[in-house]
Amino acid sequence: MNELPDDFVNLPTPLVGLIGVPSLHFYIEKYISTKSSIDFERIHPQSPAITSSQQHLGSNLSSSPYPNNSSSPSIDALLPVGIQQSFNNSPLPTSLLAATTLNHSNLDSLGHSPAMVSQQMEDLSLNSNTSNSNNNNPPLSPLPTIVTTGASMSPTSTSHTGITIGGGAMSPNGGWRVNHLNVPVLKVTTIEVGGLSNKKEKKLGQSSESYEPQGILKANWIHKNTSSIPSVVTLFIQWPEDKSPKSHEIILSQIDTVKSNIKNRNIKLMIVIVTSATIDTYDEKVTIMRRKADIDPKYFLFVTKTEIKMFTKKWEKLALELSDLYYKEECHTTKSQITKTTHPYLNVRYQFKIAYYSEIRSDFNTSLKYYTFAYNSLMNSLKDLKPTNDPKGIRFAEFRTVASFLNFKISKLSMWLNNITEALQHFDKHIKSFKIYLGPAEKEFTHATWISREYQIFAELLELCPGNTTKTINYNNNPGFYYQVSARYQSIRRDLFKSLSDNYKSSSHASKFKGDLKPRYDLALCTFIGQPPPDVAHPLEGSSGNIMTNDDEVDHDFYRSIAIELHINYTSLIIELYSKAYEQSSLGGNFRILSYIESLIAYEYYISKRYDLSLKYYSKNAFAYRREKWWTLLTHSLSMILKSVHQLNMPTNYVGYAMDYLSPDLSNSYIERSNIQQSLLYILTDSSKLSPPLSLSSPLEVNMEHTHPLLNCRVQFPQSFTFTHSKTEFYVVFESHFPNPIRFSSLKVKFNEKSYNKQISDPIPIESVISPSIQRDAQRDDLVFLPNESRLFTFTLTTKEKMELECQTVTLELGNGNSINFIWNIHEWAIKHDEISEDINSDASLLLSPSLSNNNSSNNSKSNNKNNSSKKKETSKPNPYKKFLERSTIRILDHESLIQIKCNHNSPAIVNEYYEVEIELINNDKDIKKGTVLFEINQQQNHTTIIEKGIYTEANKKSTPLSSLELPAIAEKASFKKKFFIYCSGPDENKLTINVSYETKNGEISHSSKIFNIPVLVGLSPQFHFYNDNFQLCEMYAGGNGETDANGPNVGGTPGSGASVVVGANVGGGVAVGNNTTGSSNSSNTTNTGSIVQKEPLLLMSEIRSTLPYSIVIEKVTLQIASIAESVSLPLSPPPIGQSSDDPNLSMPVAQLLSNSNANISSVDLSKDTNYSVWFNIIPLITGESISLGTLLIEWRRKSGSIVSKLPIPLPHTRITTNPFHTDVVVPSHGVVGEPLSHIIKISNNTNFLQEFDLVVINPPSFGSSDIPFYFSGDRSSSFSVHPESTYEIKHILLPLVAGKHPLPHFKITSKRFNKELAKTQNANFLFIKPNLEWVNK
Amino acid sequence: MKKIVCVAIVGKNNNPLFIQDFSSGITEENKLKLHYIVHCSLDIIEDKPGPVKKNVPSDMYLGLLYPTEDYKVYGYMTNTKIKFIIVVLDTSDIKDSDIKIFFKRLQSLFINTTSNPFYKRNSKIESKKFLQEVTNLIPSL
Repeated sequence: MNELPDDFVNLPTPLVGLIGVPSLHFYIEKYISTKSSIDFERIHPQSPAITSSQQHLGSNLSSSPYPNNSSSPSIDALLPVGIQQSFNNSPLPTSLLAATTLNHSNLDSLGHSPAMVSQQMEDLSLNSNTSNSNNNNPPLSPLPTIVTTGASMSPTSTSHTGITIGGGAMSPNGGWRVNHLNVPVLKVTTIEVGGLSNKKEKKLGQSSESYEPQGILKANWIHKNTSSIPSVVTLFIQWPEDKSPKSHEIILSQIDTVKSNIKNRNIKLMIVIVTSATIDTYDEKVTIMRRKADIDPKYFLFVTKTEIKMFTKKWEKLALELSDLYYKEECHTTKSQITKTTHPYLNVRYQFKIAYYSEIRSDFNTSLKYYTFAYNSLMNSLKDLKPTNDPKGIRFAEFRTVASFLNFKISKLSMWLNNITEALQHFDKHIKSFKIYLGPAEKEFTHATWISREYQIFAELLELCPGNTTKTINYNNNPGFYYQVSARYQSIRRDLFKSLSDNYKSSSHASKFKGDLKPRYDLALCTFIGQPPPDVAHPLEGSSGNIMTNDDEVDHDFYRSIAIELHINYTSLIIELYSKAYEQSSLGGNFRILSYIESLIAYEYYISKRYDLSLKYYSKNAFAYRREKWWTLLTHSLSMILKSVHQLNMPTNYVGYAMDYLSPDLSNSYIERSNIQQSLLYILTDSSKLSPPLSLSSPLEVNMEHTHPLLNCRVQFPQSFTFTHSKTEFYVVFESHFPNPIRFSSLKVKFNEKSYNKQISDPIPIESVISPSIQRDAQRDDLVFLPNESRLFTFTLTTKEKMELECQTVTLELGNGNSINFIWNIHEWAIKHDEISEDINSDASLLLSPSLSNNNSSNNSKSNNKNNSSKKKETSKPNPYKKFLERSTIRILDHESLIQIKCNHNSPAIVNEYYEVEIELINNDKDIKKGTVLFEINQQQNHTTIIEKGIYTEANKKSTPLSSLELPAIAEKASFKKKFFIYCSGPDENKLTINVSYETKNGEISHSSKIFNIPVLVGLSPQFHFYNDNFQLCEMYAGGNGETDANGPNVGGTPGSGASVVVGANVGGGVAVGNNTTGSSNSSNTTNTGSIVQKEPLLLMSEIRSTLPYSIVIEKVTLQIASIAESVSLPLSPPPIGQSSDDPNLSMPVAQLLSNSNANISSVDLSKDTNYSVWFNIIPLITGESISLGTLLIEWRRKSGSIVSKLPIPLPHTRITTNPFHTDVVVPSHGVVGEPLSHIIKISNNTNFLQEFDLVVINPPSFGSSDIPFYFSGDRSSSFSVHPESTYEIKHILLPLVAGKHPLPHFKITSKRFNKELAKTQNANFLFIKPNLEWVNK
Repeated sequence: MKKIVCVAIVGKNNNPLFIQDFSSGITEENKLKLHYIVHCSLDIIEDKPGPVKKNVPSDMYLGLLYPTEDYKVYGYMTNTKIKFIIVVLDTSDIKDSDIKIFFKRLQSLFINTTSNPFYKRNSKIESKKFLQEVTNLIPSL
């Protein structure tokens, strides 16, 4: 809208002239009341502009007071009316002009005081529009957020130099906005008495028919009517003080002058008498004056300076009345002129005048009507316009300019009257009417400029229109569209001019304006709107109104416009318009339209070589279209992106976008695609073939999507698992949609284990021509992909260790050196290997049936595997065109062992037995070529006892221990057997592990392993009973019956039932030991008990009970007497007293074996739960708290076998004591009556003390005192003492008197020290006395 | 001179199913522009209130979507949100009723084509027969 003159845009107000008493004018103007309206308001960039414009005014009267106006001229631009007066053609005297102008500037400054401007600024910022004055929007910003036209849209402050032409939007001088305004109802201007110009008298001779107007609208008419020709003139008359008649005459003549001055313009008159005091209104002088004035007394007023405010209200009301009347009359006059005239131009002019007058009267409907009439009239005349009549296009330019003026008014009024639809329709009509350019071809660009501007103005109107509330809903109302079209016409303008610019660029005519791009001529020089001004170089000629200027002049203007055009930054113009379009369109959230505008912006940036911005917008754009799947548009965006990226020298992005661009979804042509493919190759091979050159500085890795539309890759392991040391295949399928055959350089497959990595290379350079003879889908070794071909690459992998093998990446390299590497990170999306339902890695089952079924199934799968892997049939390979199950991992398992391990043995084993085991390997696999069996037996974990274990090939320790065994070749289904022996010296749970490794004839190595549990027991449970020589069970075991159970671990000394009570106590620790050492006194106590006593005969009964499930044969049972060392080596107490520990005879036996009851019995069968008994007669030779007298050695064999094993069972630990006194009673076994027999008691003192004894012989009670069966000699009663370690002998002679069983006399020997009777002599003994047969015979 | 310059069918998710321009001697640039126009018109269709909600078949016609400088864009939307869009020259003056009939015919062609069991729903129509039929239909307006 900056192109339109302010006078035209502003809402016109009636003009009232003030004459006389200038001091009053200021107050009048100040007190004029205002009315509110919503209308355009000129926004000045900054407050200093006004002062500068005033200065400007001061220095150059002819220039416009409106700072904005200076920026808008062009050869056909809408020339602002501005101040039309100039030196040479002003109809007004210079003095009046000066006054008018000054007055105008006052008005201007009044309306735009700095405070007000700043207020406007605030409003602007409140409206979230950027302030126009300090707009620092970068030129690249797509969205200058501003509603108004003008300064704020200026892209840069620096770029506007030389772009003033046509650059309404570029103008730095402000813009327009719509605001609530309080405008004065009247505009006043000071006029000198008689200062009004005279209306040009129509020459009566010239009839209206013959009058040929030179133009349609006079350029100065609007300004004249708004600024210089008042509708009403108010004459202020200072009431003279002196009352002299002379002063009255002056007043009267003044009235006359004014009246005559305004008469022919029909201007209304008001007279105001200014008095300092009240005067008599019926004064004679006043009456004369009234008469002279000849006006309605209503308009004859009086005022005193004190009441001026009140007066102004009254005055303005009257002035408005008159003014309305004036404009009404003007309308009528003009209407009558219409009827008189026939010339179409005049028709337009008059209709315009009526419309404008009506607008001043605020009669907008009439105004709109007449503007429309005027427009229609103009269109009618346009139809008559022929290009031939208008060779330079000047008339057409005038037409369109006037039409633009009218269209603006029509649109604006329609919109303001809430009839936007009408405005739209009118604009549509307007544009259609002027779409076809009439005029010289070289000026066509000016027409594009004009259309662009029309769209822009209309868009601005729509944007500013307060009633346009539907612009977010209805796109027709949206200014965005019009801005967008405006931008398009700017680019058309550029295109049109481009063809010209070459012709004129070097033209001397154009270049001479280089330094002076401001319009040469003054704005006010125009005579008619839309016509070039007459040449000021010849002002007199110009004033003649002859617009037919010579050719040179026209060329001059044209060249000037070209010079200006040459300096236009179209891009910023266009971008700015697009930005506004974008901003406006975004209000409705029309993202597709926004995308379209984005693409337009991007294109504009592209052609202005702002590739970075172009890239930015196209990328955004491409995103939207990709989401919407609009491939055609996406293709375009991508192709533009590619070009931009190429220009920006971004090879990496180029490759990326090229990949996108080549995607088969897009709608680009084959040629385009192959060009891009070629470019890709050039980047790698010969960058000089691209302009600008583009090459990679380092290898580029392109991470490919799983299924890239251009090139996709799938991988597959045919199986989910395989076995170690076998072969498996790995398939890689590529599907290429490159438009042309393409040769890659290498294919790399990477696994998580490096040693499996594979690579295929194609040595032929990628740029070399690919032979057309290459057959599609044929088996080839190269890396050439024909268009839309899928190729399958098979890799054979030799599996090694057991692991989970995963394919991690597949890389396809294009080129060597700085190559493009397409990488598929398979592991990121791959499906992991299938879960194997049956865990074939588990140990072979012991049970036969499952293992058989296992074998069957695995045989099946195996044969399948074989088919796949070994037989390289084409048919077994997956079809690369079909989707196959993608599987990037494979589980490498050990080869499934198909042999069966069995052990034949008869459990349990017995301690010390060479336990016979037979291993049997049944081969269910292929023929076994070789193999190894490893034997392993668990070593003991119990540290307390040492158990010797071993595996032997023979049943004796001398044979070689068996740890491994080489397998011979075993045929399929055959079995292998081998016997071996396991020895174990103690009871244990033996775990025998057998590991079998073998290799079949196919070279498949398998492992199998099995554990066998073999319990080792003693198996025979012996019980021992000790008796003394009296067959008295030894009472050494309190609570027990003297038996001990040597079975099982009890032998080892751990507490058990029976014997363990004593044994355990002794083992238990030194307490018992200490008791023994503290004194021998205690030991005397034991003399009474039936413990095992040293040096006294002992009977041992061993009862062996079999707990074995099988029968054995006991060959022989012997008792091996232990040596002292052996018995000591057992956990025993230290040697008892009297046996020094450093006794050199440690090898001496602890006892003496007298006899063995079973010495001559051999081979006794012993089945389960039967007993075997054997008696031994032994004499312990030493004493001890816990002494094992020896070992029972059982020689046995299995009933079925022949191997005799020896099972030693140690005797339980027993306490062997010694008496302090060893008493030996020697009595014959029988006596004979009458034959004396000796009864000897030997007492050995085993202590270290002298022992004293008392001896008393008591007759048994049955004897009575006399009736004794014996005669008796010896001491009846005595005392004696025995020295240590010596023996004392008491001898009695008994003479039996009576035959029969007689108790012997009681030889009571009591130790004095112990005060106890000796045990041996305690019990009464009997003696059989035989009758003396000799006596009988006699 | 043909009035219709472009016929477009847009799927439920605003993806193009069929776009064909029919003006002779159209430049590549203008072809692209037609695509843009059709695409932009989707914005208008989305914004159009009213007829979409009613279940009356005749209301499937959306009327003039928007005028561009050179073309007028008319729209038609089925109940299944398939949009038919035609772009006609701005100079041509066509009655709404005629356009409605045209759209009806176009829709029945579309239905026939997409009833083909080999047609994948919501995919681009590549049937040559359909193209031919549409081409034959053009002069009817």
